[in-house]
Amino acid sequence: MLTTKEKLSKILPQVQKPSRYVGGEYGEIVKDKQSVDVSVAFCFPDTYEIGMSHLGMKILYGLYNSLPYCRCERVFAPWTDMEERLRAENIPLYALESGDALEEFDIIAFTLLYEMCYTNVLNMLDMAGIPVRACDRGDSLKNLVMAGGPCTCNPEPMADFVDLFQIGEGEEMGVEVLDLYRRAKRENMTKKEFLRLAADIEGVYVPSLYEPQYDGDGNLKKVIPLDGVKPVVNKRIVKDLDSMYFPESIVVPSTEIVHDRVSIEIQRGCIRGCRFCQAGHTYRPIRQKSVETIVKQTKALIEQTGYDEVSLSSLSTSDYRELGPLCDRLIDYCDPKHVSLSIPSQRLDKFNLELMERIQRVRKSGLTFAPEAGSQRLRDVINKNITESDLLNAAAIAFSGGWNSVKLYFMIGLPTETSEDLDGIVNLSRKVVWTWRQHTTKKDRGVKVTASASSFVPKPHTPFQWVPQATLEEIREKQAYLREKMRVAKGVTFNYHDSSTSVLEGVLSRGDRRIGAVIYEAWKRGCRFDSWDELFKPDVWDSCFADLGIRPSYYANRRRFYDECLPWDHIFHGVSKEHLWKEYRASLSGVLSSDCSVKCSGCGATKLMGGKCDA
Amino acid sequence: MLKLRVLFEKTGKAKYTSHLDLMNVFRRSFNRAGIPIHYTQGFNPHPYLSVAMPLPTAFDGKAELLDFDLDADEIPTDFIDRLNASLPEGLSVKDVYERQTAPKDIVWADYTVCVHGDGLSAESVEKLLSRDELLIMKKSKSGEKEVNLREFIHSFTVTDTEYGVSIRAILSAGNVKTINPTYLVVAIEKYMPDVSVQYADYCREVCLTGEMKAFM
Repeated sequence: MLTTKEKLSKILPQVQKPSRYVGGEYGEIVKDKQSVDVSVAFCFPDTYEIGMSHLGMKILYGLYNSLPYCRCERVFAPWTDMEERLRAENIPLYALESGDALEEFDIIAFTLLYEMCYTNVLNMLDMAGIPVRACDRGDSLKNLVMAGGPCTCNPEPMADFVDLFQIGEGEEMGVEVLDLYRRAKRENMTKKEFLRLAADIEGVYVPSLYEPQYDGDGNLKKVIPLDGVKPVVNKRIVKDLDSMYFPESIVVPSTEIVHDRVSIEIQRGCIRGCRFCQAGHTYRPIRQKSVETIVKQTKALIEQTGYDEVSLSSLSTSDYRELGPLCDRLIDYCDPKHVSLSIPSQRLDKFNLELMERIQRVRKSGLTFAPEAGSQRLRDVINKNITESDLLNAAAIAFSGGWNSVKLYFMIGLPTETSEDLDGIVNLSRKVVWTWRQHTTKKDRGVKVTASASSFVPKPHTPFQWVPQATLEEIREKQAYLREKMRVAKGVTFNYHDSSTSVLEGVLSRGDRRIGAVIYEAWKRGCRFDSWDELFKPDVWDSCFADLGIRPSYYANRRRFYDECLPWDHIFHGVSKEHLWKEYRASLSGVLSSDCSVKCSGCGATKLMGGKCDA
Repeated sequence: MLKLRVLFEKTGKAKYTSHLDLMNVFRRSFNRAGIPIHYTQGFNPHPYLSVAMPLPTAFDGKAELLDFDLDADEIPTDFIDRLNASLPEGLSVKDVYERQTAPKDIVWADYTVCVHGDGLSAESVEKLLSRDELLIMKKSKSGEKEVNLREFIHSFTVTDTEYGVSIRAILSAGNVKTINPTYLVVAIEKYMPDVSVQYADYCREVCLTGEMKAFM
């Protein structure tokens, strides 16, 4: 009989990238389990390489471990080859730091980054030997399942599996939840008692204390708060980003991951109000970190990690008020240390050649611009305040500055879209190629213009949350149309993805609690890593919907009404339903709304700030 | 500028760090330790780091060597301590000195192979490895070729253990002629069908020159 350690010695050389499952990285925090009161297993429902690139995980890992009474360890979803072997050898899913089985931990915390990771959440619980559904887990505090992250803006589809959602920003809320848990453990509370108290913490949503009710036609009528809990959950924000917790040390992977660099958030929220964008709405109100804080945090992490790249992270970096002075300070520090600075998420109407030249000495990588729609009319509908001359000016500056590779992001399936708008995508791309011909200094190097079209998925908490998503057939028709037109567009490469993932994403993101049964069934029938093309099984998902008598089109392709109760109405994310509806009506007439720095539109985010926002 | 070599051990959790990843691990560790490694000049400066003899992933290595150039006139006295404090678990530096030899001098490597399984005995494995002809299929970039494993074995001893056997063998290594010690287990599995091998642990103890001296 081999021990677990011996079994792993046997298995690890057989699987892809064994270092994913081993731990021991520089910066890892391993605490003696006897010295702590609360243990948290932080579970990232995707591979190690993706999870270790995620800034949120680094922050929360550091935050929870900074509490002297808590140990927090990392768990990532094992790839299918490892899962097979772990199950065959009866090795339960374990955390990297100590190798302890997941079920030894008090709290099992998941971060929900995208809907397509939901089956991985269930699978990880199952691999840990923990019942997947909350109703099967009994009333002990042990193995409390907690979730946070962007998808919590509509937590309902995962309500069957999660005991407690942290909605919004976790830097303060997370500590309050853990403090309460520690007290609950000491006082021998039941899970129910703990959850009732937790439900009173600002930002915490306990789904078992909210009951959805449906009318005779199966439409959601209302969500009833039980036992005196607050009827609406306000997401939690941190008002002052400068005094907010940020780790001074992080785990540095020993193996290559997706983003091998230091990531520093420079602001939260966005002032632009693009109508399709969920993040831009749900991260409001806008709050900026001071230059001083950013520089201090950057230095601390570069020194601790030894990384040679820093990336500034925000939704719209060009809107950071002191971007110039910030970059000056950072470049002064980074250059002598051979550390490169990366500034993604810039708006093309603020493209700054001087800035780009200073930070990107070697123009190896291409530039990305996101016009999102091909015609001015449609850009106005989605409130993407960009003109054709903005794009061509930015392209001209880039090409005369020596770049010869440009990627253009578009969406298809946007509301009110016609074939003229699709033609606009082709025309715009061709004009970018012509612009290159006029402005390039190195004609013989050639140009690479890639037009990439993703399928639009309407999201909760945006002005388009009422809009019917284009069907799979409609999307495929549009892709075929564009493919035909692009064939004769010289110099342009056209990229698009198979859209069956977009269809499922549409249902999961705007689904209600009844979708939980479909997720459970899909997992039972072998679905996992749904965001991975090679493993996604659209046919299995389709048959789950059919067998359970649930129509995906009800959630994704139906036009919704203002007075309808939406499954996420009881979660307030900073933007009022009235404001969203006003924006939606404006979009139908193609009327632009100005950004927050020009005029406050009264979206409702000031309610969370308790006063004016920092726009 | 000094041309240096670091002698280090790669064991435990660091076993699974691949050769390519190891370069990045060291580069970042040097940065963390504040050790000024020399960067090449030119359009795209990068540090010079080179491992004498790459170790296969999942092998332990007791005497691994990393070459690098230092932007200084002398080796800092606390070099080893500073670097060790910056390395991940399983990597540990034993020595640092000015390099005198080149990897081309490597002719042999000394391995310990712990074979876990049933039906193994030192006597039978010794008998097998002593055969004049021990044909196995050796994989290379161009495909598979049948070779006589005996030609790659300099010397060996086999000991009985509670889990199976432990083989200590000096095998061909280097640019001219080389064999992966996993082929010892391949031979056991091929020629001893009554034996059931569960798995094997591999450790490279040291690389040797043609004169059977440790390559430093």
